[in-house]
Amino acid sequence: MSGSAVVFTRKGVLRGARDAVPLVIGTFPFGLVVGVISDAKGLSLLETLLMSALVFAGSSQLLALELWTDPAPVAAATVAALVVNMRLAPMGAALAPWLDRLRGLRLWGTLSTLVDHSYALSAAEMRRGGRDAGYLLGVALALWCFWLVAVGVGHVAGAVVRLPPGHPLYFAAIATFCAILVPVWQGVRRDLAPWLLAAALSLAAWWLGLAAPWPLLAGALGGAALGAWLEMRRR
Amino acid sequence: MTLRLDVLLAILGMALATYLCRAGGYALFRAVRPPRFVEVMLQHLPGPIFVAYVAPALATHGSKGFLAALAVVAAQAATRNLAAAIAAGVAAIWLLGLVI
Repeated sequence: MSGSAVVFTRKGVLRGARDAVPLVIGTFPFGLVVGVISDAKGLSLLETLLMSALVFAGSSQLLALELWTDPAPVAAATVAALVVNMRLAPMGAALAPWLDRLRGLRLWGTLSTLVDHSYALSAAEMRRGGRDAGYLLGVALALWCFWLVAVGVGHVAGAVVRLPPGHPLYFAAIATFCAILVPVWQGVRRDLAPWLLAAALSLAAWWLGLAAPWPLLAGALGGAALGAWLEMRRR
Repeated sequence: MTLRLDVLLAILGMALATYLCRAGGYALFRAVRPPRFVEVMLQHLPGPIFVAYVAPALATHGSKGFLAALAVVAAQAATRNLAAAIAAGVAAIWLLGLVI
Protein backbone atom coordinates (compact mmCIF):
# COMPACT_ATOMS: atom_id res chain seq x y z
CA MET A 1 0.00 0.00 0.00
CA SER A 2 1.53 3.36 -0.96
CA GLY A 3 0.88 5.63 1.98
CA SER A 4 1.19 8.89 0.06
CA ALA A 5 -2.51 8.99 -0.84
CA VAL A 6 -3.78 8.57 2.73
CA VAL A 7 -6.23 11.32 3.68
CA PHE A 8 -8.33 12.26 6.70
CA THR A 9 -11.76 13.60 5.76
CA ARG A 10 -15.14 14.26 7.34
CA LYS A 11 -16.58 11.83 4.79
CA GLY A 12 -14.31 9.11 6.11
CA VAL A 13 -15.32 9.84 9.71
CA LEU A 14 -19.02 9.64 8.78
CA ARG A 15 -18.56 6.39 6.85
CA GLY A 16 -16.75 4.87 9.83
CA ALA A 17 -19.56 5.97 12.15
CA ARG A 18 -22.14 4.38 9.86
CA ASP A 19 -20.22 1.11 9.66
CA ALA A 20 -20.02 1.06 13.48
CA VAL A 21 -23.80 1.03 14.02
CA PRO A 22 -24.25 -2.79 13.76
CA LEU A 23 -21.50 -3.21 16.38
CA VAL A 24 -23.75 -1.57 18.94
CA ILE A 25 -25.76 -4.81 19.27
CA GLY A 26 -22.62 -6.33 20.73
CA THR A 27 -21.37 -3.42 22.83
CA PHE A 28 -24.67 -2.14 24.29
CA PRO A 29 -25.37 -5.09 26.64
CA PHE A 30 -21.76 -4.89 27.81
CA GLY A 31 -22.18 -1.17 28.55
CA LEU A 32 -25.35 -1.91 30.53
CA VAL A 33 -23.42 -4.41 32.65
CA VAL A 34 -20.63 -1.89 33.32
CA GLY A 35 -23.26 0.68 34.35
CA VAL A 36 -25.09 -1.73 36.65
CA ILE A 37 -21.87 -2.85 38.36
CA SER A 38 -20.61 0.73 38.73
CA ASP A 39 -23.86 1.52 40.55
CA ALA A 40 -23.51 -1.58 42.72
CA LYS A 41 -19.93 -0.55 43.65
CA GLY A 42 -21.16 2.83 44.82
CA LEU A 43 -19.94 5.05 41.97
CA SER A 44 -22.12 8.08 41.26
CA LEU A 45 -23.54 8.61 37.77
CA LEU A 46 -21.00 11.39 37.17
CA GLU A 47 -18.08 9.18 38.24
CA THR A 48 -19.39 6.31 36.12
CA LEU A 49 -19.75 8.46 33.00
CA LEU A 50 -16.38 10.10 33.57
CA MET A 51 -14.67 6.71 33.81
CA SER A 52 -16.45 5.45 30.69
CA ALA A 53 -15.67 8.61 28.72
CA LEU A 54 -11.98 8.77 29.65
CA VAL A 55 -11.07 5.09 29.82
CA PHE A 56 -13.52 3.80 27.14
CA ALA A 57 -12.37 0.18 27.40
CA GLY A 58 -15.04 -2.09 28.80
CA SER A 59 -13.07 -5.12 29.89
CA SER A 60 -10.56 -3.04 31.87
CA GLN A 61 -13.41 -1.11 33.49
CA LEU A 62 -15.07 -4.37 34.54
CA LEU A 63 -11.83 -5.73 35.99
CA ALA A 64 -11.13 -2.50 37.90
CA LEU A 65 -14.69 -2.51 39.26
CA GLU A 66 -14.22 -6.08 40.50
CA LEU A 67 -11.23 -4.84 42.52
CA TRP A 68 -13.07 -1.70 43.67
CA THR A 69 -12.87 -0.65 47.33
CA ASP A 70 -13.69 2.45 49.34
CA PRO A 71 -11.49 4.55 49.19
CA ALA A 72 -10.88 3.88 45.52
CA PRO A 73 -7.93 1.57 44.70
CA VAL A 74 -5.91 4.06 42.63
CA ALA A 75 -2.84 1.85 42.05
CA ALA A 76 -4.75 -1.41 41.52
CA ALA A 77 -7.19 0.17 39.04
CA THR A 78 -4.31 1.75 37.10
CA VAL A 79 -2.39 -1.53 36.90
CA ALA A 80 -5.56 -3.38 35.86
CA ALA A 81 -6.11 -0.92 33.02
CA LEU A 82 -2.47 -1.21 31.94
CA VAL A 83 -2.50 -5.01 31.85
CA VAL A 84 -5.91 -5.51 30.22
CA ASN A 85 -5.37 -2.82 27.60
CA MET A 86 -1.85 -3.89 26.65
CA ARG A 87 -3.48 -5.69 23.72
CA LEU A 88 -4.16 -2.27 22.13
CA ALA A 89 -0.44 -1.45 21.74
CA PRO A 90 0.26 -3.71 18.74
CA MET A 91 -3.00 -2.53 17.13
CA GLY A 92 -1.78 1.06 17.03
CA ALA A 93 1.53 -0.10 15.53
CA ALA A 94 -0.30 -2.15 12.89
CA LEU A 95 -2.25 0.94 11.76
CA ALA A 96 1.01 2.76 10.96
CA PRO A 97 0.33 2.95 7.18
CA TRP A 98 -2.55 5.31 8.01
CA LEU A 99 -1.25 6.93 11.19
CA ASP A 100 2.14 7.83 9.68
CA ARG A 101 0.36 10.38 7.47
CA LEU A 102 -1.34 12.16 10.37
CA ARG A 103 0.04 14.90 12.59
CA GLY A 104 -0.79 16.55 15.91
CA LEU A 105 -4.29 16.21 17.30
CA ARG A 106 -5.50 14.10 14.38
CA LEU A 107 -2.82 11.52 15.18
CA TRP A 108 -2.70 11.54 18.99
CA GLY A 109 -6.42 12.30 19.33
CA THR A 110 -7.44 9.47 17.02
CA LEU A 111 -5.13 7.13 18.94
CA SER A 112 -6.89 8.07 22.19
CA THR A 113 -10.11 6.54 20.79
CA LEU A 114 -8.55 3.25 19.60
CA VAL A 115 -10.60 0.17 20.53
CA ASP A 116 -10.72 -3.42 19.30
CA HIS A 117 -13.66 -2.76 16.99
CA SER A 118 -12.24 0.37 15.37
CA TYR A 119 -8.97 -1.47 14.78
CA ALA A 120 -10.73 -4.51 13.31
CA LEU A 121 -12.95 -2.56 10.91
CA SER A 122 -10.03 -0.30 9.91
CA ALA A 123 -7.70 -3.25 9.29
CA ALA A 124 -10.35 -4.69 6.94
CA GLU A 125 -10.85 -1.27 5.33
CA MET A 126 -7.09 -0.86 4.86
CA ARG A 127 -6.91 -4.27 3.20
CA ARG A 128 -9.68 -3.23 0.77
CA GLY A 129 -7.43 -0.33 -0.24
CA GLY A 130 -9.14 2.28 1.95
CA ARG A 131 -7.04 5.41 2.34
CA ASP A 132 -9.18 7.59 4.60
CA ALA A 133 -7.81 7.48 8.15
CA GLY A 134 -10.89 9.42 9.33
CA TYR A 135 -12.64 6.03 9.15
CA LEU A 136 -10.73 4.86 12.26
CA LEU A 137 -11.89 7.87 14.27
CA GLY A 138 -15.48 7.60 12.96
CA VAL A 139 -15.96 4.00 14.09
CA ALA A 140 -14.57 4.81 17.54
CA LEU A 141 -16.55 8.03 18.02
CA ALA A 142 -19.86 6.33 17.22
CA LEU A 143 -19.05 3.50 19.63
CA TRP A 144 -17.99 6.04 22.28
CA CYS A 145 -21.37 7.83 22.09
CA PHE A 146 -23.36 4.59 22.33
CA TRP A 147 -21.02 3.40 25.10
CA LEU A 148 -21.82 6.42 27.28
CA VAL A 149 -25.57 5.96 26.65
CA ALA A 150 -25.42 2.24 27.50
CA VAL A 151 -23.37 2.76 30.68
CA GLY A 152 -25.62 5.65 31.74
CA VAL A 153 -28.80 3.62 31.19
CA GLY A 154 -27.26 0.70 33.10
CA HIS A 155 -26.36 2.94 36.04
CA VAL A 156 -29.75 4.69 36.20
CA ALA A 157 -31.85 1.59 35.70
CA GLY A 158 -29.67 -0.38 38.13
CA ALA A 159 -31.17 -3.70 38.95
CA VAL A 160 -34.06 -3.27 36.51
CA VAL A 161 -31.99 -4.03 33.42
CA ARG A 162 -29.94 -6.76 35.06
CA LEU A 163 -29.81 -9.55 32.49
CA PRO A 164 -29.31 -12.94 34.11
CA PRO A 165 -25.80 -14.38 33.63
CA GLY A 166 -25.69 -16.55 30.52
CA HIS A 167 -28.39 -14.52 28.76
CA PRO A 168 -28.09 -15.13 24.96
CA LEU A 169 -27.63 -11.39 24.38
CA TYR A 170 -24.17 -11.53 25.97
CA PHE A 171 -23.11 -13.73 23.07
CA ALA A 172 -23.46 -10.70 20.76
CA ALA A 173 -20.07 -9.38 21.91
CA ILE A 174 -18.26 -12.61 20.94
CA ALA A 175 -20.36 -12.95 17.76
CA THR A 176 -19.18 -9.50 16.66
CA PHE A 177 -15.57 -10.64 16.54
CA CYS A 178 -16.42 -13.97 14.88
CA ALA A 179 -18.18 -12.01 12.12
CA ILE A 180 -15.33 -9.50 11.80
CA LEU A 181 -12.95 -12.41 11.12
CA VAL A 182 -14.75 -13.23 7.85
CA PRO A 183 -13.55 -10.20 5.82
CA VAL A 184 -10.09 -10.51 7.41
CA TRP A 185 -9.60 -14.04 6.01
CA GLN A 186 -7.35 -14.04 2.93
CA GLY A 187 -7.17 -17.74 2.12
CA VAL A 188 -5.96 -21.10 3.41
CA ARG A 189 -2.32 -20.70 2.35
CA ARG A 190 -1.79 -17.42 4.19
CA ASP A 191 -4.10 -17.71 7.18
CA LEU A 192 -5.00 -21.29 8.14
CA ALA A 193 -1.86 -22.27 10.09
CA PRO A 194 -1.43 -18.90 11.90
CA TRP A 195 -5.10 -18.83 12.92
CA LEU A 196 -5.00 -22.43 14.17
CA LEU A 197 -1.86 -21.68 16.20
CA ALA A 198 -3.51 -18.54 17.64
CA ALA A 199 -6.54 -20.59 18.73
CA ALA A 200 -4.36 -23.37 20.18
CA LEU A 201 -2.10 -21.00 22.15
CA SER A 202 -4.96 -18.94 23.53
CA LEU A 203 -6.88 -22.05 24.56
CA ALA A 204 -3.77 -23.58 26.14
CA ALA A 205 -3.09 -20.40 28.14
CA TRP A 206 -6.74 -20.27 29.18
CA TRP A 207 -6.78 -23.91 30.29
CA LEU A 208 -3.63 -23.24 32.31
CA GLY A 209 -5.69 -20.65 34.17
CA LEU A 210 -3.80 -17.56 32.97
CA ALA A 211 -5.87 -14.39 33.36
CA ALA A 212 -6.54 -11.74 30.72
CA PRO A 213 -4.77 -10.52 28.65
CA TRP A 214 -2.23 -13.39 28.51
CA PRO A 215 -4.27 -15.94 26.51
CA LEU A 216 -5.07 -13.19 23.99
CA LEU A 217 -1.50 -11.91 23.72
CA ALA A 218 0.01 -15.42 23.50
CA GLY A 219 -2.36 -16.43 20.71
CA ALA A 220 -2.18 -13.15 18.81
CA LEU A 221 1.61 -12.78 18.87
CA GLY A 222 2.28 -16.49 18.27
CA GLY A 223 -0.14 -16.65 15.33
CA ALA A 224 1.13 -13.43 13.78
CA ALA A 225 4.75 -14.59 14.16
CA LEU A 226 3.98 -17.86 12.39
CA GLY A 227 2.19 -15.94 9.61
CA ALA A 228 5.18 -13.64 9.15
CA TRP A 229 7.66 -16.52 9.24
CA LEU A 230 5.72 -18.47 6.58
CA GLU A 231 5.38 -15.39 4.39
CA MET A 232 9.08 -14.50 4.55
CA ARG A 233 10.12 -18.08 3.83
CA ARG A 234 7.92 -18.15 0.70
CA ARG A 235 9.69 -15.15 -0.80
CA MET B 1 -23.85 13.78 41.50
CA THR B 2 -20.76 13.39 43.64
CA LEU B 3 -17.19 13.29 42.40
CA ARG B 4 -14.80 12.11 45.10
CA LEU B 5 -11.08 12.86 44.87
CA ASP B 6 -9.99 9.23 45.35
CA VAL B 7 -12.37 8.06 42.63
CA LEU B 8 -11.22 10.83 40.30
CA LEU B 9 -7.57 9.82 40.86
CA ALA B 10 -8.37 6.17 40.12
CA ILE B 11 -10.19 7.18 36.93
CA LEU B 12 -7.33 9.42 35.81
CA GLY B 13 -4.81 6.64 36.55
CA MET B 14 -6.83 4.18 34.45
CA ALA B 15 -7.23 6.75 31.65
CA LEU B 16 -3.51 7.49 31.58
CA ALA B 17 -2.56 3.78 31.57
CA THR B 18 -5.04 3.10 28.77
CA TYR B 19 -3.77 6.00 26.66
CA LEU B 20 -0.23 4.71 27.13
CA CYS B 21 -1.35 1.37 25.67
CA ARG B 22 -3.26 3.01 22.80
CA ALA B 23 -0.54 5.44 21.72
CA GLY B 24 2.56 3.68 23.09
CA GLY B 25 2.68 0.85 20.56
CA TYR B 26 2.52 3.27 17.67
CA ALA B 27 4.93 5.79 19.26
CA LEU B 28 7.51 3.05 19.81
CA PHE B 29 7.06 1.84 16.24
CA ARG B 30 7.66 5.35 14.97
CA ALA B 31 10.72 6.03 17.12
CA VAL B 32 12.48 2.75 16.37
CA ARG B 33 11.90 1.39 12.86
CA PRO B 34 11.25 -2.28 13.59
CA PRO B 35 12.92 -5.12 11.70
CA ARG B 36 11.16 -6.36 8.55
CA PHE B 37 9.92 -9.45 10.42
CA VAL B 38 7.98 -7.32 12.93
CA GLU B 39 6.43 -5.27 10.12
CA VAL B 40 5.22 -8.42 8.34
CA MET B 41 4.02 -9.74 11.70
CA LEU B 42 1.86 -6.68 12.25
CA GLN B 43 0.23 -7.26 8.83
CA HIS B 44 -0.66 -10.74 10.05
CA LEU B 45 -1.98 -9.54 13.42
CA PRO B 46 -5.74 -8.93 12.77
CA GLY B 47 -6.71 -12.59 12.23
CA PRO B 48 -4.75 -14.14 15.11
CA ILE B 49 -5.68 -11.38 17.57
CA PHE B 50 -9.41 -11.91 17.11
CA VAL B 51 -9.10 -15.70 16.90
CA ALA B 52 -7.25 -15.58 20.23
CA TYR B 53 -9.95 -13.25 21.54
CA VAL B 54 -12.90 -15.50 20.69
CA ALA B 55 -11.42 -19.00 21.20
CA PRO B 56 -11.38 -19.00 25.03
CA ALA B 57 -14.69 -17.10 25.13
CA LEU B 58 -16.31 -19.74 22.91
CA ALA B 59 -14.76 -22.53 24.99
CA THR B 60 -16.59 -21.25 28.09
CA HIS B 61 -19.84 -21.93 26.19
CA GLY B 62 -18.73 -25.49 25.29
CA SER B 63 -19.80 -27.11 22.03
CA LYS B 64 -22.76 -24.76 21.55
CA GLY B 65 -20.36 -21.81 21.56
CA PHE B 66 -18.42 -23.21 18.61
CA LEU B 67 -21.63 -24.19 16.77
CA ALA B 68 -23.04 -20.69 17.23
CA ALA B 69 -19.74 -19.24 15.98
CA LEU B 70 -20.15 -21.34 12.82
CA ALA B 71 -23.62 -19.82 12.38
CA VAL B 72 -22.15 -16.32 12.71
CA VAL B 73 -19.42 -17.01 10.14
CA ALA B 74 -21.91 -18.60 7.71
CA ALA B 75 -24.33 -15.66 8.07
CA GLN B 76 -21.53 -13.11 7.59
CA ALA B 77 -20.17 -14.92 4.53
CA ALA B 78 -23.65 -15.24 3.00
CA THR B 79 -25.06 -11.77 3.75
CA ARG B 80 -21.91 -9.62 4.23
CA ASN B 81 -24.03 -7.87 6.86
CA LEU B 82 -22.56 -7.54 10.35
CA ALA B 83 -25.90 -6.95 12.09
CA ALA B 84 -27.40 -10.07 10.47
CA ALA B 85 -24.37 -12.14 11.48
CA ILE B 86 -24.49 -10.98 15.13
CA ALA B 87 -28.25 -11.61 15.28
CA ALA B 88 -27.70 -15.09 13.83
CA GLY B 89 -25.18 -15.81 16.59
CA VAL B 90 -27.49 -14.68 19.39
CA ALA B 91 -30.39 -16.67 17.88
CA ALA B 92 -28.15 -19.75 17.50
CA ILE B 93 -26.85 -19.68 21.09
CA TRP B 94 -30.42 -19.25 22.36
CA LEU B 95 -31.80 -22.14 20.25
CA LEU B 96 -28.83 -24.39 21.09
CA GLY B 97 -29.38 -23.58 24.76
CA LEU B 98 -32.88 -25.06 24.47
CA VAL B 99 -31.56 -28.25 22.84
CA ILE B 100 -28.12 -28.99 24.35
